[in-house]
Amino acid sequence: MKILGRTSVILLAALLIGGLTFAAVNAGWISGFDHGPDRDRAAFQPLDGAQAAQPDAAGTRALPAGERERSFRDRPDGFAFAELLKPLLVVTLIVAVVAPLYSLLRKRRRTMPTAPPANS
Amino acid sequence: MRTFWTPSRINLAIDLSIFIAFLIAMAPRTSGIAIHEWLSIAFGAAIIAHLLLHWQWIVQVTRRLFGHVAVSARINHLLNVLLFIDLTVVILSGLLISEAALPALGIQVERGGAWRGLHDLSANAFMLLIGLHIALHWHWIVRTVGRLGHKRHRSPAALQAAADVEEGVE
Repeated sequence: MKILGRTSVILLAALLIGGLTFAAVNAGWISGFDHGPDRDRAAFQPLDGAQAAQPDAAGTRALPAGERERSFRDRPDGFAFAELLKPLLVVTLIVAVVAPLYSLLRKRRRTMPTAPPANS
Repeated sequence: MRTFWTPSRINLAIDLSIFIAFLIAMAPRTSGIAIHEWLSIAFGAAIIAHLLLHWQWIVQVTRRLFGHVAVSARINHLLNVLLFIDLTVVILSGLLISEAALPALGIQVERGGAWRGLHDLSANAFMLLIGLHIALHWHWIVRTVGRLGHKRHRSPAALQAAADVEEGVE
C-alpha cells in the first residue's frame, strides 16, 4: 500500500512535468527546436537518388515527391560504436573531475569548526 | 542467517542495471530503434524503483531543505530534481516521436516538430546530469564495491545510518 502511494506520487509528479512541457511546446513557448527533421534531411544524401530537399520561401524544407521522411536509422553505421562510447566517456570525464572536488568540499566542511573555541 | 543482499548491495545492483540500460539507450543506432524505445520505457520503471528505494532520503531532505541539512545534501537534492524533470521530458518527447513502441501498441503519433529537437537536447542534458549524479555518489559506489568481498558486520539499521551520513542527512 505504501509503495503504491509513493509510486502514485512519483507518477503524478512526472505527469505534472509532462503536462507542463506539452502545454509549453503546444503554446510555442519552447521553440528553436523545429529543425530536427530538416537537419536530418540536410545531413544525409536523399534516398534512391531523389533530389535533396530545398528550403521554400518560408525557410522550411518540403520533402521531394516520392521521398519518405528520413529516420535516424538512415544514418551511416560508422556512428554506431562511437555512439556507444560517447555517454561512457562523458560520464567518466565528469566523474574524474567532479568526484575529487566534491570529496574535497565535504572533507573541508567536516574539518571546519562549528563554533569558535570557548576562550578565544 | 546472514544474507548477501544488504540494502546497499540491492541499491548497487539496481543502479548498475540502470547505468547499463542508460548506456544502451543512449546509443539507438547501435541497439536499434525498437530496443532503444522499449528499454527507455523500462528505464522509467527502473527509475521509479530507484526513487522508492531512496524514498526516506528524499522525504527527509525535502522536509529539511530550508532548515538544518548539509550543503552537499542540498546540492544533491537540486541535482536529483533536475534529473527527474529532465528524464520526464526525455521519456515524454521520446514517446511523442516513437517509431516502434507506440506503433506496436497500435498508437500512431505525429512525429517531428519541436519534440525531436527537445528529445535530443534533454537526452544530452541527461548525460551531463547523470555524470554529476554519479560523481556526487562516487564515494558511496567505491565503498560499496570495496565491501562486496567482505562479510557483513553491521546491522541493516547501522548500514542505513551510515548511508544517511554519506548522503548528508544529519
